[in-house]
Amino acid sequence: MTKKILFIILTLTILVAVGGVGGYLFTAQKNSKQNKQTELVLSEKTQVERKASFYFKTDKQTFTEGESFNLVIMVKAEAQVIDGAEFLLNYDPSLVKLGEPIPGTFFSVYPQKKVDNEKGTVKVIALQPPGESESLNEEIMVTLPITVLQKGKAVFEFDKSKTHIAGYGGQELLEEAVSLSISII
Amino acid sequence: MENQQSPAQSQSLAPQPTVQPTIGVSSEPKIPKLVKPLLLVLFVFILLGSLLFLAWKFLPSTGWLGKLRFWEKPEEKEAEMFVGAPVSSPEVTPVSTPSASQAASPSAQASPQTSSPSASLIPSPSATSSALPSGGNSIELKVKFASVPANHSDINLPEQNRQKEVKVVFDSLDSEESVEEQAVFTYISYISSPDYQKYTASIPLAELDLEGGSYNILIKWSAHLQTGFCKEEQTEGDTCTEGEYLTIDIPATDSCSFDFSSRDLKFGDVNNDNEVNVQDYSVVQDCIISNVWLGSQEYEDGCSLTDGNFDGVCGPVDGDLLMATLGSQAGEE
Repeated sequence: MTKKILFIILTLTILVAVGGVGGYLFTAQKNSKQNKQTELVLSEKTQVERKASFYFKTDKQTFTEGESFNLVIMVKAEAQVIDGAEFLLNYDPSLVKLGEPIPGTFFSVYPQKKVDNEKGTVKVIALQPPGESESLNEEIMVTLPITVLQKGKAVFEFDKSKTHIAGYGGQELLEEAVSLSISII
Repeated sequence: MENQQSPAQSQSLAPQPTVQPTIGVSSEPKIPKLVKPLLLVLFVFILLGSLLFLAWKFLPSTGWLGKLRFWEKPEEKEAEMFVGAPVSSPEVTPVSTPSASQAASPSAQASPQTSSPSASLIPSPSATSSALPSGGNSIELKVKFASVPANHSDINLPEQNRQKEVKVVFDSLDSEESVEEQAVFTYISYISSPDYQKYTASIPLAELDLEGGSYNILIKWSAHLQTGFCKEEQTEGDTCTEGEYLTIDIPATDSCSFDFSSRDLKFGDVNNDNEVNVQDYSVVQDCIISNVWLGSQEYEDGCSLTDGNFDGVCGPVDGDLLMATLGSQAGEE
């Protein structure tokens, strides 16, 4: 008889404990799912190494007043899939004047390519079309026609907070964005 | 027939000398006396603990069951009972003044759509401040999500996407504080309704720790850009100047209503960092390439945030919508 009572008590204790733990886990799972929704997404994506970069290409680094040249902005990504790239570039508008950016051939969609010769900024966003995912080694993102206005040292500097290269479900792939300095004599 | 018993049975029914069963006698002394009461105490302890836990997790905060939540502060209970509706305690956080992109337009005008004297849109620098309470009145908000429903057809809006929990921030211009509320906005599908194809929400004033005065109202759903409103019929590019704001009078004599549907909430802030850029586009791309639709695990796990027009499919149209947002930001740098 005593054994029977002990057995019943033990069983009830285990049931209550299991129920409590189960309830807690259920609630915790529910909450974590809600949090996941508001944060983001695709958490099972493997983290991809940041290998992509922006850099400039010019024929030379010293120019004379009134001279015009093309400044090419390149994207390098070591065969990673790049869904889109964007940059905000700052320059001194008293030293150089920029023309309309000329798109490259890899990205086919340019929702934004805006030059502001008063503020001294260039903003370019380049994307692969929806549903396409080509890998990229080294491509021209955009070519900037530049006219030199006066003597000095013109620096083209990326605004890092608004410069991104993204792929693999929203991951930041940008490793570095190298600035350029040219001399105007 | 029933009375017939075998000799063996009749023998067993006869009174016998007390003979203890051997098993019971031999096992009894092996259990220490304290085990039984200890187990009972343990059981009661676990039972009470579990009941308390379940009550804490699942007991509703309203109604007579709400009174059983003895661990809550009395003032919270009173507030809930006063409204007679579920109340989530409002979070008060300091918010900086609206950014340039959310501000500016010299044409401040009183809107003819103001539904009651309690919601005046006329700039009033000397707005009076007074504290709660304020009856069962509410603030009604109307918004429109860009390209929802797809092709202007209700058939492209699944039932699951007809309610959205949206963050509403009442940004006080008087105290430089803000009150944040999560409000459930519901899609209006009645063709005859003046609010057809808008999402509307009604927030009981008692749920908000608001004081009367001047406000900008910031509205944000997870995957859309936060948009600031300082007047009704505020259109795209029509942002607020310093002298433009909404006035909320408290205590209110009536509910007030603000219709912000003239300016669409733009899709694109998929990763919820308050800006739209290529990272958001990359998330959308991933869901497009994975061919995700409503009902699939990926949709539930987060791709629903990339469904910009709420049609239940993560497709190129959503990518186009995000591109449109990226393009429209050209003048806002």
